Amino acid sequence: MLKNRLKELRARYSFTQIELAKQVGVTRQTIGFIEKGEFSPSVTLSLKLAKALDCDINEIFWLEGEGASEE
Amino acid sequence: MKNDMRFTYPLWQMAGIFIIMGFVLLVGYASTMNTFPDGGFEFEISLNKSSSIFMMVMLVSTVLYLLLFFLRIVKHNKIMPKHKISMTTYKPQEYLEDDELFQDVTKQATKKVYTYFAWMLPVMAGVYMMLPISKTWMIVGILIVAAGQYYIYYRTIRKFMSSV
Repeated sequence: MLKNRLKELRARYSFTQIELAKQVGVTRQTIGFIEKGEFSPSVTLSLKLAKALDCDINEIFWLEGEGASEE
Repeated sequence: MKNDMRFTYPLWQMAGIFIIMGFVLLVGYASTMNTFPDGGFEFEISLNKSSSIFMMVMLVSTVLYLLLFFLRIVKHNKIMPKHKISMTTYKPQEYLEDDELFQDVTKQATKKVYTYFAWMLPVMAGVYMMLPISKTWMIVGILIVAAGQYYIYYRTIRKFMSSV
């Protein structure tokens, strides 16, 4: 299962869900669903999120049991 | 989202199907069709008091339905100019394709509808072959199955919308 810390990283930049959604070109609902772990985004969207949050994709997403990569 | 007609569109489709069903029953029970050896045919509708009342109810329902339906489309298109409902495209208007989450939900819903038809069509074909069903009830059966697809689609989207 795909885990993420999108909410935490979004808070680092004080982005609201709407602001982040606008930056990556999706709806607010999509950001909410990703944060809740109810939706696994595409590679394209994951890369856009990583770019918007200025971090590596592995820092946002990881597979359950593997843990997030160290910064 | 509450004003998004794409969400309630399947319900409108279902209502339209039930109105058509009413007319099918009316024509089925009030009409007679005679064919002649030369290939011609005669079609006659005879209405008694109760079927006349039923026809009037159906006509009023149709007018009301069409009026409300088109007013609702105009309102939706005004509120959501980026997601206009168009009556001139082949694509079903209830599809939500705003982004990949919505595309995924639409995919789930259409997958359920596909599964439903994969079972219902052979079942219907079997029932129609085995039982002596009149043409009227065959058409009504098809319309019920058609309404069923919209119900399945709507239920799936509603479940998603309630969690948004």
